[in-house]
Amino acid sequence: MVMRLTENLKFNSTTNNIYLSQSKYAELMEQISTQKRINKPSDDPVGTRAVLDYRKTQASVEQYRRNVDASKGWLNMTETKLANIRDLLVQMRETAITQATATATAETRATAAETVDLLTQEIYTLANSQYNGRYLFAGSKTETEPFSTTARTSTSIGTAEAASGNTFDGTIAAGGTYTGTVNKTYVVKVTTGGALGTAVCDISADGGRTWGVTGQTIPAGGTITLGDGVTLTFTDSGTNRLAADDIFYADALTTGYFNGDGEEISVNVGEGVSFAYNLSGEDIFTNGGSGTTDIFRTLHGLKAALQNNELAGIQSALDGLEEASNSVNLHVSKAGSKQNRLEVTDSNLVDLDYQVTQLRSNTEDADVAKVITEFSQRETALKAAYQIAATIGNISILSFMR
Amino acid sequence: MSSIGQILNTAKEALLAHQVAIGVTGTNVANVSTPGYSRQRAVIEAKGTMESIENDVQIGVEVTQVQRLFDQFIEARINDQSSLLSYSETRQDALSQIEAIFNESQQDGLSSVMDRFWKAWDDLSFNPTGEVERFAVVSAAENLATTLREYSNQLTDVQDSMNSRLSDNITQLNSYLADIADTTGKIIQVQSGGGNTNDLMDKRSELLKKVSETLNIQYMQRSDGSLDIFMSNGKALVQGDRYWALEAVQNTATGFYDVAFEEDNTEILNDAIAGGRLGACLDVRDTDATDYLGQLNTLAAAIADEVNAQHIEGFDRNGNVGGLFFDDVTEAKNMAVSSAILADLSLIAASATVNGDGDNAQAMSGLRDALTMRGDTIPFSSYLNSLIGQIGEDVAAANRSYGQRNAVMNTLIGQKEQVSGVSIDEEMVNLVRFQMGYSAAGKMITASQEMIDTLLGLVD
Repeated sequence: MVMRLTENLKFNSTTNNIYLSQSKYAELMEQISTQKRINKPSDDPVGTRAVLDYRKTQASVEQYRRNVDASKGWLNMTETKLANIRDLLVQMRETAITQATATATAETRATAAETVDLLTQEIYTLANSQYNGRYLFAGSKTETEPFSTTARTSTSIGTAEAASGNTFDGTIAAGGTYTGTVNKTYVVKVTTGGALGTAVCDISADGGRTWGVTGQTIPAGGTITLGDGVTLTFTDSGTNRLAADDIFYADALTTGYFNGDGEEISVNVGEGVSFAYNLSGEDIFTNGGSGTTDIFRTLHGLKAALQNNELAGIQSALDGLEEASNSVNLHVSKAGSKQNRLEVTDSNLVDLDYQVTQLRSNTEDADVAKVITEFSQRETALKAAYQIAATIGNISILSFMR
Repeated sequence: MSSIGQILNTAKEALLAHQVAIGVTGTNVANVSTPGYSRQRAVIEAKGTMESIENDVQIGVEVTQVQRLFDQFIEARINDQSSLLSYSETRQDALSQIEAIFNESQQDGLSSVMDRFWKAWDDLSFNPTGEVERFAVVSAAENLATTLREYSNQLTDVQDSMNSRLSDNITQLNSYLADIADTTGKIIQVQSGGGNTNDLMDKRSELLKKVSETLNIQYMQRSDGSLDIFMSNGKALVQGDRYWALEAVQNTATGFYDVAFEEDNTEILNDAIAGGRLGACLDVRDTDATDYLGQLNTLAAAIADEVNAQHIEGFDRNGNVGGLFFDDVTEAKNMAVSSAILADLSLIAASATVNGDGDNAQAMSGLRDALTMRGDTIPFSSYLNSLIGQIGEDVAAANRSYGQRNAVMNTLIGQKEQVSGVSIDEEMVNLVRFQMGYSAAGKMITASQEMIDTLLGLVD
């Protein structure tokens, strides 16, 4: 059968062809200008999902690297300070060795005592160093100056504090004698409010990180035992009683010079990878926790022995200094190895970033050469469509009729 | 043997018949661009015979009817396809709008805002007492909340626009139905009087196509010229010259319109509408957008929940237990940083202990990768990415189906055009033919006159 080609059919198919060519043309134009194959989710839904995942990974990697950099800064500072302390300890040891000989006199020892005192002050300054306003060696108590110049001769329990947002307006007092071997911050969190005798609380010995005792009822007498001999006594004012989430805390400190704690502080350096970037003063400078030697006691002991011209004291301080050097050395290398670990982590992150960038580019980026070739093909097609549109009405039987 | 009078009469009929035929050709040419016009054809038939001695002699011609060239089966397929095509077109259009909302290639897409939020916590973990870092956390959080609210509002806007389109389309549909019933009335009248209904039929076909574009229908044409239209559940929209208007009834529970008959607006017809623009409006509004919004709400609620749960684990600057960081929300449109935090930055619980260590901020930033969604199997970002992927897939599918249906439609229109369309070339050829016939008939009259003259000359 002969096809009847009607006027509408001719014009419809022409406009359809132009539309088709134009839309493909515009799509390719967008790809060329953005250099991307995927410009909206529907261009490639599966690819879009992958690209978004890659982008998120890249953003995470960027942040992890930032964290690695900040940790490196902290550790670098830690290492420098400890290395300085190590050098000062060496000087001090030389002084002590000289003064431990028979040729030393009371006068030379008194002068040496001055030197030791100066060096000790320097070590204090170093051990109390800050990085970005936070104390390097205070454990998690980064706002507390970790070392004091005078020793506590007995354990101490700090003033009990009530958090500012508490409902409870009675008084609290910490009491007892601390029998623990490391510094702790006890925290009491009220879980069920009410009058003394009915209120229930949780108790933490690590500043509130974990709750060692839960569901402890506060007796009518108001005194609860926090642990290691520390007690806390509540006195109800009778008006605003204990309420849930009221927080009370008290520091318990051992003897010695250290005011910080042995807690780690950490940062995320990978998906689910936490990295503790601090070295606690407790481990380095005290004999509490996993620390081995009380460095400041040795230093103060040396000074006293020199002032008092006591050979035995100087000799025992020499042993102490050796232990001190060992401890500081150990931690210098710990800081170094932590930095090495960060280097490894960082280079892994760089690799990951590179791979993900590649993957993302493969998925997302347009193959420009191919797109441009296709573009010029489409251009030809579009030109042809226009040409046809321009000539479509030109020829009909009318041209031949008079 | 025919008389000269008969010849003259035949010539007259031939003249008239060709005149009509030329007139029909003229109408066709005039309507070459009229949408919905079906070409017409003058059906010319030989008329009557006269008994003569030897054999019967043809004695005339007449135009028995002006035929409308029309294939009702192609028309039926076009109407079906119209429903599908306008459904796809409307849905594609709406989904593209939604896709534009979730276009994450822009800098401030939800996923990058989420990233910045977690980053801010990381920075805070390094300096838990820093005012700048605290401020950065709150501003990133507000940014996140605002973005979630905006996405939710924009999705709701799409739903609202679908809703008002639904109501507009129903108003329009009612006028189509009224016109069809009215036209049918005229057709029945004209047809019973034996008149020509071609123009009315064309007009009604156009209206029927518009109804098909509005919703999916079934219809049947009856011999008396009436056209009965039913919804897919068998309820009549038009019967003879009567029609039943639809109404957009506000649903008090959803706040959106339901479709019902004006006569009895308690019976909701939403489920009977699957095609056309009405079908697309309902599907986008109640299925697609509702689904996306539901997922966005799930995401917002989960972020608020997880962040809050982590926040109350920590201690603020003053040693208090952390409070709610975000308002406790179930819907993205209400997402907001708690007013207490906004008023006092020191209430951000950055530390895991009362000593200001920053570890709670670190734990918070860990939520970035924590498996928190879909029964704790994927992190927030994957949930969002799969939502965006799903929208992309839906849009791509809608685009494809639109493309396919459009192609089918073009083929059908081509088929229809072959039967009903006007071809100028053809009309011109017909014109030449009818003109020749007309001239020849004229010649017959001249010839008859000469014959009479000859006869009269014999008498002289």
